[in-house]
Amino acid sequence: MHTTMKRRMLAVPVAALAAATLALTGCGSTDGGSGSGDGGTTTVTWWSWNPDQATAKPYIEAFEKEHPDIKIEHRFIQYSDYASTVQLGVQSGSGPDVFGTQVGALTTQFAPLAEDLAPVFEEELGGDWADLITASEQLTVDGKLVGAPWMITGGGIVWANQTIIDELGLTMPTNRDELVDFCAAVQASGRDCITQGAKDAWQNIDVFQVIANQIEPGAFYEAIDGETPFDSDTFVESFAQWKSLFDDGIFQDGALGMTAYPDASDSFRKGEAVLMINGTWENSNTTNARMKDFTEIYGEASGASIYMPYQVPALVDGADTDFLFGGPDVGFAVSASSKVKDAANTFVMWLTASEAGQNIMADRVQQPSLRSVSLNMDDVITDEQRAALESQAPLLADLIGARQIQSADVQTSLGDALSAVASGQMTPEEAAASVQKAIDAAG
Amino acid sequence: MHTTTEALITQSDRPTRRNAPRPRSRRLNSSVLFVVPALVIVGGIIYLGVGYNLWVSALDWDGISEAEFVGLDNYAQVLSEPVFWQSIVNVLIFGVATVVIQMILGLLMAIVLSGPVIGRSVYKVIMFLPVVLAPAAVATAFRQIFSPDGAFNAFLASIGLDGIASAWIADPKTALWVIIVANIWQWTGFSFILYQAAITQIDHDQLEAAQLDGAGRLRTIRSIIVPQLKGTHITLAITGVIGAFKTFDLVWLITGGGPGRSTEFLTTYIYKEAIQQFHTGYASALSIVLLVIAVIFTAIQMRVFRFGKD
Repeated sequence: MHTTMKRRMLAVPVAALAAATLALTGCGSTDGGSGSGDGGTTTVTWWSWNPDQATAKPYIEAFEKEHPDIKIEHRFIQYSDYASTVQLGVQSGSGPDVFGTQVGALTTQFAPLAEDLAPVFEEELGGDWADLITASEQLTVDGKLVGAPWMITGGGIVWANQTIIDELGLTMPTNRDELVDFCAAVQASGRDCITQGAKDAWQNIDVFQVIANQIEPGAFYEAIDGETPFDSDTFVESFAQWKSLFDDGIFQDGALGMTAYPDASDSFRKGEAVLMINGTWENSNTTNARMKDFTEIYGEASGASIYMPYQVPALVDGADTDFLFGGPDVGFAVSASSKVKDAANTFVMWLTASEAGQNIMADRVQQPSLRSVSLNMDDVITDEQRAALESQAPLLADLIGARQIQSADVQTSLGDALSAVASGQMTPEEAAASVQKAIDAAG
Repeated sequence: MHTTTEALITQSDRPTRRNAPRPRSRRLNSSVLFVVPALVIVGGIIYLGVGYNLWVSALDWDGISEAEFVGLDNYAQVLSEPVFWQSIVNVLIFGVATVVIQMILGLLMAIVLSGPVIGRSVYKVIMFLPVVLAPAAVATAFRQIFSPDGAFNAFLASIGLDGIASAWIADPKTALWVIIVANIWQWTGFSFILYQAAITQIDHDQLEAAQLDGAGRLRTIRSIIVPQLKGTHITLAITGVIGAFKTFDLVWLITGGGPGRSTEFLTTYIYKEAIQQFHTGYASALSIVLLVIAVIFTAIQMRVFRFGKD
């Protein structure tokens, strides 16, 4: 029949078109794939959560000026999505050549996907390279240097909007009673006291370390490693103290629904909260350059404020608050599947082992990993800020412990426990026991 | 005695004879050609993927380094994990609440908008708009709305109910309901569109006949419209339950499974285990369990509705 013939003839091209469409979608765009560009320039793709787009620019510009035959393609990924994105990218072969890595699970799990950078360092800095940089052992897995330490940071600092504090006629509290009164006054002015991104496990774990180190200095690190029990009085009390920060309204309402970045930090930078417990990675808050960025993003008031780093007030009577926990907060790894390893190595060495690269960080008052480079305080706004940053140096040189937990399971268990305690789903005793269980299972 | 309405209904049920079917062989050739592309996707990608997942679920593997065959150990661990059972409970509450409420609201709006309403087409667009929005956008918006200083608490204050204002997302007792509300807002339009299309298919003669027999509006809805929409009810129930099991983005972006694990869904649990904790084998076992549960639920529903049809 006429119509049947027509239908059959249509069937073939339609089926072919459908199949062709499938094939085309199959070979879709590769994200972040690297290779040599044209005209002799090599393109190196670089993924990081730190630096972000704004902070990465000076590094890229300076490097490309020194090495005109290498072009850097940077991609910023928010920390909360970072691990998954990089893992998928590197494993599927369409990932970055250079990627940021952090002490802890991120390094231990990604070790097989990264090149050993020890020989690269040896070539660059000589046989004693390990003495010339800080804490490279925190990024070493089974003798393999997975990431080149880039920035050394310490956690356990509370950043304060000094401008608003002065405006309200208050002084920075040094103990719990003062903190409670301080918070009452701040809240009466319609602001939050300490803003906490309690949806993010990492920030909760930071605060927990502050509390635990105040109660019993250094005990946290031994317990996490399984050397001493975690279900001990110290940590039960730490969990109880943690809960009280929520119950007593020191943390903002709804903290458990807010992320550290961007929710809590935006709130802090906009002056909606006066304090945020963070770390030395925010040191650039004391520079004019950063204040320019803030003005652009958050408005005049934000950029005109003075931000001061303080040690967290003693939440327990008589606690010693002079400590920082941390290590290489960011290191850079070269992907084992990179097609431009030489160029990638050059870039990583420039970032982490060259005075030129590390000086850019020093200019932003972040602690460089290269020991020969010290903080450049030229752009710091006030003398008080300068003094505060200088007081960090001895604490960073002698960290009370490593901030990141090596085992992903223990880290998750502690994060869950903190969230559960804060929301009343677990008692401090149950929380400590659950973490102990995870530590035992991780062996 | 038959009412006019019943007579009309039984008449429309009788199948009508159309053209004689084409010879089998010719029909098969062109049919196969049309089916091949779909077969390539389903067979090659989906079934192969499921098969690979099944294999990985029998391994102790972190996705990167060497794997170790452990048989059914992962499944045993799944069944003994309290987080797993918590997530099952959450998905069930979510599924029942969203499916039922979405169907009721969708049906209501479809019935209302099937009548003479001024600006009917505009309302239809407004109803369906949330369905086409990206879940990420919806989640962000609802996080804002239900934050302590968000629009919902402001609304409560404006009607004098600021006593019950709270941090809805941060409270384990209410966080799940925020997710449910967000889902209802986004997907009621889908139920609405399906019901709306089905209502237009209802024979007008039957409605007129019912009127003639003296049925009021509510009686018409209850006895004529709703039963005739059975096909749509079934479709929405099945797709709704499957959709509930698959829901990830709303949960992840609004609460992340928290506070604690109070709003953990199977999907977010799988994600955390696979991506954040590098337990690829265990996460694969969870995925297979999710698949099995979804298939069982679908089978149950199809059974129930087929019996109901008789």
